[in-house]
Amino acid sequence: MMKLMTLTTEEKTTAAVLAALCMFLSVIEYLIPKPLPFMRLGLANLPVLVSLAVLPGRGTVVLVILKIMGQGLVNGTLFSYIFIFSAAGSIASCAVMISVYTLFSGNISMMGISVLGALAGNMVQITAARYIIFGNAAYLIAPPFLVIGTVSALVLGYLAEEFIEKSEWFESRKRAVSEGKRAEGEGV
Amino acid sequence: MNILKKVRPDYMFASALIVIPAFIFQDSVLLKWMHVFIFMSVSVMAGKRIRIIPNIIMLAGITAANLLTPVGEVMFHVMKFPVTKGALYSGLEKTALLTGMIYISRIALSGNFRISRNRRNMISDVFYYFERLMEGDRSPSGKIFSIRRERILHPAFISELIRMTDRKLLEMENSISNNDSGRISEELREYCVALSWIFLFIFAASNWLIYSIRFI
Repeated sequence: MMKLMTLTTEEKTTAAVLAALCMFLSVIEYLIPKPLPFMRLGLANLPVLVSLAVLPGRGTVVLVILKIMGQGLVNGTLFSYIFIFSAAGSIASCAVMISVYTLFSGNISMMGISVLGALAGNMVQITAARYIIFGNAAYLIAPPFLVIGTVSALVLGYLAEEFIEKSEWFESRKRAVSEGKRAEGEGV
Repeated sequence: MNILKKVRPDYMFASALIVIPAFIFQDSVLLKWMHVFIFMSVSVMAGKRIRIIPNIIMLAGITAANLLTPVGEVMFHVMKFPVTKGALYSGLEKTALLTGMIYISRIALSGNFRISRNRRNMISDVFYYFERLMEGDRSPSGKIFSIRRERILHPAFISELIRMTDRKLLEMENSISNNDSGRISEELREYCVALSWIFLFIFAASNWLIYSIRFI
């Protein structure tokens, strides 16, 4: 199991930088006005989508764990239910995105992966809300919550595709990760 | 008002951990709200802002959601809708728990809570990179970012955001340097420790006292 989670130095660096970027983007998102408290774009998920194209699946898992911990510490929600919702949603969405990316790599766009991940994450959050806070009334907020989540995921998927296509940093990281893997494989 | 700014972050964290059981295991809704009031007050004294509207929306939303499932005796009707005692009690208790945990988390992680990079692990690396990303984006006016809201609402913001993010990541990779600052005098350190102990004692004692009221 430990072996499964082993990452090369370059992969660890990339995961740490992407997790920091998650926190940076969540601060930026804080500035964007929201018509309703739960209506948000979820910019912090952009690095998770980008990671699929540069890190192995276990690297994305590590990134998501770092993102959950980092956001809990920075936003001060580590001991709150918000943390449980965030963790449950992120883990479910991460599992679906990695599975879809691995199974259909090359045949599905980032927008498709993003939408499927968001649907999984949102459904888990609604289920958690049903049992922890709202009771059966949670299902009343489910339709607008899922619609907003899907639209946000589409925008986010588009952003991820743009970033992967245009970012110079992404290109250099991708090169560094593959060179690092080759070097550590050769025992350099 | 920020009289708790000098309390050491590790003491804040420890005091929150000591208080959490008293809050979670509190049975009385009224006393639970008293804990929440203390958490909010401490949060303000630690320099955190309290946003009233989101708290009211949360209180109204969770209570209303719980009222949809009637439990116990009917207290009164709101436009033919029965408001039951059990459902109202449950809604208020859940809101208190949710609100209280948010504020206790803020108290636990207030001040200059940071993980030392000397103990090399990935979490400390994340915070190190996060601080590097934030560097240079604080404007003299005190705003977190030099980005203006008008620009955020502009359609071109998305492509600008991608460019900006890419530029920041490249800049960060090119200029990572160790930067240790913030040394404080011995006198101030002693004062901070004393203040921290006083805070920890008062905060823990007041909350456990509220918890023990139910046994009286």
